[in-house]
Amino acid sequence: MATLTTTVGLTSTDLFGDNLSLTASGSITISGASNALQNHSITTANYVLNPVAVQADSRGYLFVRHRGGDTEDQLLKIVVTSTVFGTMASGEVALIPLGDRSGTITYSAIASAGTCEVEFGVFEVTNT
Amino acid sequence: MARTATMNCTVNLSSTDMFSDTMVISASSGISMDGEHKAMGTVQLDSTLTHDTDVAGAVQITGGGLTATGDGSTVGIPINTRAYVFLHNISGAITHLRQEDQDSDDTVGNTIASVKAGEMALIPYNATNFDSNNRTHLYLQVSGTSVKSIVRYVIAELSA
Repeated sequence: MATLTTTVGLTSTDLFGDNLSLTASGSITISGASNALQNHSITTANYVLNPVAVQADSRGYLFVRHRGGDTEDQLLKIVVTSTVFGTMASGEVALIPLGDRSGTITYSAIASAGTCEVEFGVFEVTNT
Repeated sequence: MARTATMNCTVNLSSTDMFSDTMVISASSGISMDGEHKAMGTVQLDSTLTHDTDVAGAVQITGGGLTATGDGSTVGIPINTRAYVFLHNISGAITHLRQEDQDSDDTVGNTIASVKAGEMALIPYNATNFDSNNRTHLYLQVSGTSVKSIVRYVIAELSA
């Protein structure tokens, strides 16, 4: 067991009529074998982010930072069990809790073109 | 044309016992939100109630209203649109973010993320399931028997 302390903040002066300032902090208990933090150049070939799949009855917290591509408009597609789940542009960050209680989970990523520099972490969380 | 706004997102992660050395990650980005929908709110979910959908304990959060019907052509996340979803489970049972069923308009479909009490998420969403109007709804649903949760959320769309 390990503890991951997380903070997610959103601010905007023009998204809504009033200023938006949200901050959420908490501690997430990490368990399981699938914990890793890496930086990788991801191409248009499917790249598996967690070679050890997240177990059934667990969730995986996936941290992703798209650090840039060959060109500015290269998108990074996040794939969960063969389905494109989300798409990120250069400079964007995400913290994604994904679960599938019917089976194990494999995350992967694909660049829309060329190569994307991606920093990512996969952390396994038990549901119960 | 939808108004463009900028949302600054920050994710900080740290741990002293996950690896042998202390891990500290601090990442931030400014995202230009130029899609149709920008919404925020706090919902209290109750698994014993049929709030406004066909599934107990579920509430639709993309339509800007309390009804899950009235799909029309102006609510829900359009095809070829990206969105960022912020979730914070303030208290209560584990709560799921679910998307609309591809084969049945205004019906709750697959679970795409789950957060426990105290946990938060910043999720890039690119819809893969669409209704007959080429749009999709997102729902929050509390899971379990006779349980409740309080969850706050922000949804903002990008046009591409």
